[in-house]
Amino acid sequence: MDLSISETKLLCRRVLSAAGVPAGVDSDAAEAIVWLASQGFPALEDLFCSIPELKQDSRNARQLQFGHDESLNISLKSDSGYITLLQIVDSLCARSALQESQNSCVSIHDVRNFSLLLPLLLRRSKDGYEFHMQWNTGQVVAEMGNLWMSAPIDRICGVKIDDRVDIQCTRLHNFGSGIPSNYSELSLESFDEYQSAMSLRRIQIANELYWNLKEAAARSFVPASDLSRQRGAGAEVDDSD
Amino acid sequence: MGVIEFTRLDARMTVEQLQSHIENNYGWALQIDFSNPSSEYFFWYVSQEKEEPRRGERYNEPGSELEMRIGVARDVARLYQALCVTSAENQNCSVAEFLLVQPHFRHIITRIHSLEGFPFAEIQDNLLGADCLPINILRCKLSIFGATRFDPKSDLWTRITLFQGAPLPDELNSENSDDWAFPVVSADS
Repeated sequence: MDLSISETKLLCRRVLSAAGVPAGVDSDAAEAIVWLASQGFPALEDLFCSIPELKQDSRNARQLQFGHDESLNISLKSDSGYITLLQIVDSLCARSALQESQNSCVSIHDVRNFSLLLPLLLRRSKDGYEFHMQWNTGQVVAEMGNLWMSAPIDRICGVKIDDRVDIQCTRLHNFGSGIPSNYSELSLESFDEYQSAMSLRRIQIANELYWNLKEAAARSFVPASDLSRQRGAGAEVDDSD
Repeated sequence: MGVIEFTRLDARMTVEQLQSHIENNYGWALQIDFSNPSSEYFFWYVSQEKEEPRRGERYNEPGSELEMRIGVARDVARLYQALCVTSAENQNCSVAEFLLVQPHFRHIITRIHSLEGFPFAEIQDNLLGADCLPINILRCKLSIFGATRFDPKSDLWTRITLFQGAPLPDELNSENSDDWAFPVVSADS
């Protein structure tokens, strides 16, 4: 079956919300998941597989402490990444904006849901930040709503949990200065292209996966009670006049 | 009718700046006393049976832990209290740092940032209060859709008329086919 972007986003948000992901984090993570799915990444499958870990993540507020050199070293061994990766990207932006050097960096170890970083960096790069991300087998630059990379997409899907990922964030005053000449543009859409085509786009989803996600999302709904039936909209009102 | 919504969160803003923004733009929310239980008497939820929004009584019905995020006034007021505590300790604390410790405020901060510059974006009232009449919100929304002749049946639902006088397909080419929003009396009546 296929779903619109909005339907897919709502479905993902409800799955995340039902798993206890905080309000707002669920929306942003859902948006990132849908972008990945629209680009052919198995993001919806990853989401379904991550539900048990999400319930665990939601109980822990992660403390991120940057050092004096504006760097952060963090292991996400016990996290699914849906909550913490968002926090890491926010913190990188905030730190680089507040520092004279306009730079901040993070080294992430044991990261799951690595590909989620792509839409998060892509989105924030529209706000005047440039990101250089590097791991064992590839590098990505996000700038002005475009992603540039030195490795094919399957290397991104193939990032292993024990790979180390380094991200540097720079607050930009001059756009267009940071892309290495030997990089090719990632065969993914820019943020602007994605945004302009969103209303027409459909996301393909396997039937079984859809119903599994739908069942997980339904845990964010409230079952009817006697009181809700008595006092709900339209209850006990004669509409026959 | 459809729209693609994008939200925005400025994580580099300081908590003090956010506090000041709330004081300047959400004074209506800060005036409500949420220590009074009647200020959040109701909660709104998505019904499992209909997958539609419904309203429940917080102190009499189960499910308030799954409530929808439309208690904007209450959420702004709670955020403001938390910001006051944080800024008293560290006035240069960024929103990103604040959210590391209190991620559950991400939704309301995103809402505040996204709606900056849109003074009519919010229903400036307490939708959770015991005195909230959903019919008022319903009438506002339906009138935007073009509804007329409101015939309220309770404070939860109303009968309406849509497209009264709208041209039929064979009338679309007539000279005044767009002038149908208000019924007119013919000249010879």
